[in-house]
Amino acid sequence: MTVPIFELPDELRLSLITKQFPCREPQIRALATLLNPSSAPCRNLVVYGTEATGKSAITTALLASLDGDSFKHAIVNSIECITARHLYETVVGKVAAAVEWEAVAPRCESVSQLTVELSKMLRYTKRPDGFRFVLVFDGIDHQREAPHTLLPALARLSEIIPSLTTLFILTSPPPNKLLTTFTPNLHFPTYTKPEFITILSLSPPPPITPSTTPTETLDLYTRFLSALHDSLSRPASRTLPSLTQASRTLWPKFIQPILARTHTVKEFSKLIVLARVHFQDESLLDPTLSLSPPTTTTTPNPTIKTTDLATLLPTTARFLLLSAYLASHNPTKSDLTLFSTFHHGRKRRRGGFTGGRARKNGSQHRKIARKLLGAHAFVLERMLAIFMAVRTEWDPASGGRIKNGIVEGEQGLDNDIYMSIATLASLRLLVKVGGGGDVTDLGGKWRVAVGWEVVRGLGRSVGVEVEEWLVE
Amino acid sequence: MGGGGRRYLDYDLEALRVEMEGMGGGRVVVAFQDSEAFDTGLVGELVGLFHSWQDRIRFSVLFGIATSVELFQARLLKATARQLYGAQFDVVQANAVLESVIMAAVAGTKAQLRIGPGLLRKLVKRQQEQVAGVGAFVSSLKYAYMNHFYANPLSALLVDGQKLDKEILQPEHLEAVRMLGSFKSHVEQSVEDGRLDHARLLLENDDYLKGRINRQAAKRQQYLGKLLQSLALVIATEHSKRSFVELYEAALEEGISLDQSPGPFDLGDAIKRSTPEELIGLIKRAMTVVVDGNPSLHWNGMGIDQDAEAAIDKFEALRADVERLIETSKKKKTSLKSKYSSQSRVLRTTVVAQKVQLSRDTATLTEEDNAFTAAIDDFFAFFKTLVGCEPLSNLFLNEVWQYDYHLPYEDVFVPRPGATFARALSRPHDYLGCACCDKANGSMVGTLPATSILYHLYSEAGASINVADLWAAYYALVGEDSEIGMDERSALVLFYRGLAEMRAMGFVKQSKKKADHIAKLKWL
Repeated sequence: MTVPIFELPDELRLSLITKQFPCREPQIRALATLLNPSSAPCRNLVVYGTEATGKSAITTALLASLDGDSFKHAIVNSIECITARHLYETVVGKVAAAVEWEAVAPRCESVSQLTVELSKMLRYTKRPDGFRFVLVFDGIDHQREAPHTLLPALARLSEIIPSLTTLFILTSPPPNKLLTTFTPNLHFPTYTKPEFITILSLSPPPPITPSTTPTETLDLYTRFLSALHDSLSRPASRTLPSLTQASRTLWPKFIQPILARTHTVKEFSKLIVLARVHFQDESLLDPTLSLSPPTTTTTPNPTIKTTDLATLLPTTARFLLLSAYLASHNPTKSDLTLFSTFHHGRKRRRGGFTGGRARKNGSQHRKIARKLLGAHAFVLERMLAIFMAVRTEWDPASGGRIKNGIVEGEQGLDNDIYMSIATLASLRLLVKVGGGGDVTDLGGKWRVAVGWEVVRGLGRSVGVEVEEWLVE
Repeated sequence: MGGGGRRYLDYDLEALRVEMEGMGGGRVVVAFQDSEAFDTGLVGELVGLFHSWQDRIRFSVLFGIATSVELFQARLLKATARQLYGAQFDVVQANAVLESVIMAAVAGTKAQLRIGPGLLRKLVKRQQEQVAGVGAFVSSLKYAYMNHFYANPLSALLVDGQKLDKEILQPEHLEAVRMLGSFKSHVEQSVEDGRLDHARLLLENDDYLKGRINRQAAKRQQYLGKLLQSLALVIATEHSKRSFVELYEAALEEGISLDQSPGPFDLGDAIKRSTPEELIGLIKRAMTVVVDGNPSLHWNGMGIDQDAEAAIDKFEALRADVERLIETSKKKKTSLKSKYSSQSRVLRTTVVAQKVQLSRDTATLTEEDNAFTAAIDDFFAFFKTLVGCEPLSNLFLNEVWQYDYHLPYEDVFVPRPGATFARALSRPHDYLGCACCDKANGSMVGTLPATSILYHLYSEAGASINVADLWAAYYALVGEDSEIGMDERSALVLFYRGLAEMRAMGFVKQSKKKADHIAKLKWL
């Protein structure tokens, strides 16, 4: 029996996959043609497209359906491979498993060794006529510790082994796509709006109330999806999973009026108006850790939120964090105004010197407001000095006195303060800027890593209005 | 080695999968105890890796988050966060843990050694202000025990009476006991009370003293029982707003007395003002305490002696009385009240000859009300007999089983290196005890060690110090023209050594701005 030179892929198989992955028919057909040994098998193939466009899933399904005596495949996922050597060994292991090869080499450290091993298994072994092996590198552009010759080397594999097809799955098209035209590329574009709706309405939610028919529900769901796509998907999100997530979150809120029997299924526009608030809320596109409510065995005091930062930190650490915030957000030159009691007897806050003086016109440089620049780095010693200065005011209970320039009594610089700094640093609330230097080095530079909201809450928990201490 | 002779790399999760298959499946839990300490990128990559294996190995990741979930999530990439499905488990708050630790290990009956009120207050304060974990408290407690049993020879008296008499007790122990403050005040008290024989025997007769010491163990138990009973009853009234630790401290320091007003145990008014229902609840709770004790204190109630039975009988009778009174007043459809409850006092205004007169009138009390008032009085009087104890320091031989020194604790757990350095350098004579610097008294004289002189000069200087000036000032103090009369070479050697030591201690460093200057580093 002679093998025909060209023969289209089996329609029956294709229709199964097309049904499984709707809206991807052109891509599936192209891929099948390029992989099928009897159609137009190619040596290297690049499949690219953004995330969640069905690249890996369709490839896997198609290869599984093509598998037979004279067609084998192996898929290697780069995310699972920690080093390049790990990738080579995984390739060897998977290929050996696919062709049922017994004597696998114990190690494979370089591309050349990989070539040797693959040649042993695929080239110098007697295989049936028209045998093809497809090796898929999924997400090879995310391979860790990859040498820069990795991709070209892998692409050369199929030149050495004629029966091998190498398939690369990438996120973005290869940069030299138009320079070297001999590698076929297959693009998986993102879904369009009708496609999104078709895919999502394949799995409609259960009927809203027992009285509504499935058709009515599906009809409403389709229109709901269309509105959802317009309000959220186009501006902010383009992937199928996030849209699915959003529709799952919003659908119960959307049908709330129907369940409350104030509206019927037919009144779509009224329902949209009622649910407008939810549609405008873009926070549901932000992936959360989707926490289930805390499962505590005993809640001693339900009024206090136990996860609140303010209740978790001890008092000294809170003061230190506040001082760090002040050190990060106040300019150094205002320190004397804010914290010194030496000249004035009482403190002048909120930039006491600037009030009443007119700014010079026509200044050469327009300065960016300091608060827009975020947290600045500060020297640890300055923060400690601020801490010392404000501590007696914030916490009158800690009675200490200053003698000979050394603060004595309860509030000296003892090891507990360094411990608190270490705690804050290990919690990443204070971050050391720049490498080198010991943590206890007073000249080291630090930066505060918490935002205004947290600090304000923290300040209120110890009875300090942080606003009063900020210059701007 | 895997199947087919394949050898896996150390970090290959395939090996784990094969191993899991051999074990028949299951779940792999990876715990990140201190998730803040991990590099964010590393956590992200690990989560991605676990996620890609999720269809073959079931991974669960457990993050210990010391701050909050929001902060944790803000540090992760969005793509990583999407791969996690979280559930939150809150741990018990540190305060609650601390309280239960104190109840069991400090206040409970199983604690051999009493931590004195002063030290306990310091420990708790440090715990609340500085430290979050309970580990520091536990180690401080261990340190206190160690100090007591290693440093206090009288702690030997804590062993059993028989054994103590025969093997351990030495004449020196008795001598030491006679030096104790509590011994002296006990003897003085006996003399004042006119028990002269007792005082004389204590002072002169060793055997008599031994007998007293042996009886002390029983007395200690008795005191503890009374103390815990009082505290448990005070807590059972639910009228005290203070925490157990505060109450315990106050009890050790000042004793418990319900009459003292205002004081931590000022419960009289609150108890007297209770309504009949509240009083019944109070009696029930008090009975539970008397019978069952308080399990978190390892205290088992009053036991089965006569006192306990009498107390239970008394409480039963009172409860029956009050219940009967409630029944009667219900039948008469009046509300039962006592003369202490606030409604019974009425402010009356009368206008007499265009003047307003205010008069306080006691509303008329019915027969049942009077009976109820009597019942409250009765209850309170009896409650007072059950609640009350002396301060710890009043007890004879309390030094044997009390530890209340906070200086060793502070030296070990809250060292103050900066202040210690500063003091040692400014007054080296206090530590060296040499004859030459007797008159120095903290001021700068030439006989001080070179480093100390440099430190004095250093504290007077500004932010950057010219080394030549420093040398000139130093040489003026110790050089040939001064009393010391050192020649230049040896002075220079000492000067350099002192400067090197200052740098090693982190006081100065080479200034980058000027070549011949050093920068001052320590301001605090």
